[in-house]
Amino acid sequence: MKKILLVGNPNVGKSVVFSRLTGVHVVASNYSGTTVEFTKGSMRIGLERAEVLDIPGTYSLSPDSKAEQVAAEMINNFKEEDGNIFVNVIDSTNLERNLALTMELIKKEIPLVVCLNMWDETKHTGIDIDAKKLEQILGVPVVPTTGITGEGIKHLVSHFDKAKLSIFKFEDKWKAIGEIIETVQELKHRHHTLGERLGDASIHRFWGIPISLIVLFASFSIIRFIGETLIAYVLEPLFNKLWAPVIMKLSTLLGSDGVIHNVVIGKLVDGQIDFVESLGLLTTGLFVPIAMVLPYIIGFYLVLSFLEDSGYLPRLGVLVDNMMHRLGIHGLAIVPMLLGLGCNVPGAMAARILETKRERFIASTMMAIAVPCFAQLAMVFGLVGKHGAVALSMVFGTLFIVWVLLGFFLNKVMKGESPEIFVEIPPYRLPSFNVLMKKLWMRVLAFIKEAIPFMLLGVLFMNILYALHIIDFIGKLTEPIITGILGLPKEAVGALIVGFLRKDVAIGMLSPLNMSMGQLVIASVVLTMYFPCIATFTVLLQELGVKDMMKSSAIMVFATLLVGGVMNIFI
Amino acid sequence: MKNKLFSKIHNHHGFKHSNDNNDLKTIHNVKDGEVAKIKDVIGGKHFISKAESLGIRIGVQITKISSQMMHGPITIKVGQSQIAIGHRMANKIIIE
Repeated sequence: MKKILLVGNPNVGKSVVFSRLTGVHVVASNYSGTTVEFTKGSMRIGLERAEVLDIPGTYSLSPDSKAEQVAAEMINNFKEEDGNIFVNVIDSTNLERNLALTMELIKKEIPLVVCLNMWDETKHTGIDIDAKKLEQILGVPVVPTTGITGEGIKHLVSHFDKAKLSIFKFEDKWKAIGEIIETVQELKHRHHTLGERLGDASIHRFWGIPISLIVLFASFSIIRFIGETLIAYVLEPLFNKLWAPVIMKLSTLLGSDGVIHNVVIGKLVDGQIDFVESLGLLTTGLFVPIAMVLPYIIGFYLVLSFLEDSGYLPRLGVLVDNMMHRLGIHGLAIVPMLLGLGCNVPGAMAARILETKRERFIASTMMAIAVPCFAQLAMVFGLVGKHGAVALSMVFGTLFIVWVLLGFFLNKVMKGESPEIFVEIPPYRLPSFNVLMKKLWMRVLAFIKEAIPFMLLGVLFMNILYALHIIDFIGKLTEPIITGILGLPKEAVGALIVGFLRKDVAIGMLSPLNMSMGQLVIASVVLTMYFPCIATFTVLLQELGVKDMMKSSAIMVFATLLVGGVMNIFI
Repeated sequence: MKNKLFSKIHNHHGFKHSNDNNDLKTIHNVKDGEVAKIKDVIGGKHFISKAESLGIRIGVQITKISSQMMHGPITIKVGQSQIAIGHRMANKIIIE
């Protein structure tokens, strides 16, 4: 089958063009390195079907990061057969720099089409490009497009058949590009736009930090507002008024007790269902992911997607760079960390934007241990929330200190040095409502697909363990550690076992144990730190390799015992 | 540590540069909002090629946008795009 490879610099809108061509939605954002692996899709050209490949952006064919390596390998292994073509997606507002990759692609001698994307932005940035002239010089089709609105995409597709080998010959790449720019591009003088002024202020040496604090405070407030509103007005009424009566009828049918009743509905508390503590598949198994975690996930991903598409994240990376550098990672590592707050899985993938193996190891280990995902956050709030702000800040304060110390320690003991930040800062853009909603939907769907099956599996697993008295048995075995070092009741080991699958099950398992505030704080920290979850573990194993993952896991266990033990002494 | 690293760096003419670059003006010496022309980019082949692919090469005009406190990164404008550069890397970009 004919293959179409979408090639271009980072952040030129390849993923948006890809979605337009194939109808397959992939996450696109306004910063370099959103796409860290390739995505396949297919499209119809006339009567033919063609495969379209979206790959990570790259500045050249000599890669700088793991994501760029994925791209360079795919470009270098691309063969001229079956009518395969390159579609070189270019950011029209940055023609000169983008043409450098075009020159390298020309040398690959594979038929080429050039797509001048972000065409709409050239108008208000005072750039005038003569696409026809560029087409004559390069000898390949050159088509202006605006991926975000879909303008020019049909035109682009109609030129796929006309892809050719370029006739352009050159010796010195930059000299050749200089001459092309001279002929095809004209710049008009213009005044600074509001966006640019805002852009400069947000990385200003004095104003940058206060602005970032306002942005972060606003973000948290919006996430809380969305989460609390959805819970109070939609999800709790839904579960309490509609679902609970259905379950109560079912409970009576099943005889209010027994093995099947306990697995499906769980234990009744004072003759009633308790969605948190009943621990049945249809009660806790559904309530925790849907009514406790999902509302905050929606708020979080809405805010995160807005920040991503606006172009603020790389600027935040610049502001925190020198602090992060002391921890062995540079400012851009803020991206995997923030993604990890939603779910560690995409966070672990996003670590690919970091240049060296060393940085990826440090960032992934820090994230897996000390960045709580939403399931873990729900668990923390569920366990210690009733003790108020003091208890919560003890948990999050400890995790933050662990995060910092861990990075500091790894940076000290690991060989080598991490590279400094060296990255393009995208212009501010007003996020498109449709793109934002699609992205939110994709991420929420991914959460539901991931969380609900694992949660149900976790609840089922836990019931089996209890029924077979396995938890009692392991509890006795591990008592020296759980009670001796961490100061928790031995029954708490059940939460740790089921926590391999899903952390939020632990709320229901630990709540009936009548633990003190100190014990709950320690349990929250320990459960967050000792192991991410099986899904994250799998991705990390694939990203870091067996050897590094074993090291990382050893650090997790050691750090958990150390921190839990120290807290037990002081609390 | 810093000095050791910098003594290892040779530019492509074979000169050694110290950490301070007393004799040479780097983008650290440009004020926010000022325009300057790049005279040389020194460092390893890898750094030079990465700089080049981001548009930072000899003869190109840049505008300094900001620098962060406590040896944080420098932000410059090259052509139509903005680039953030680590503090020590910025030492390797010499201006006229």
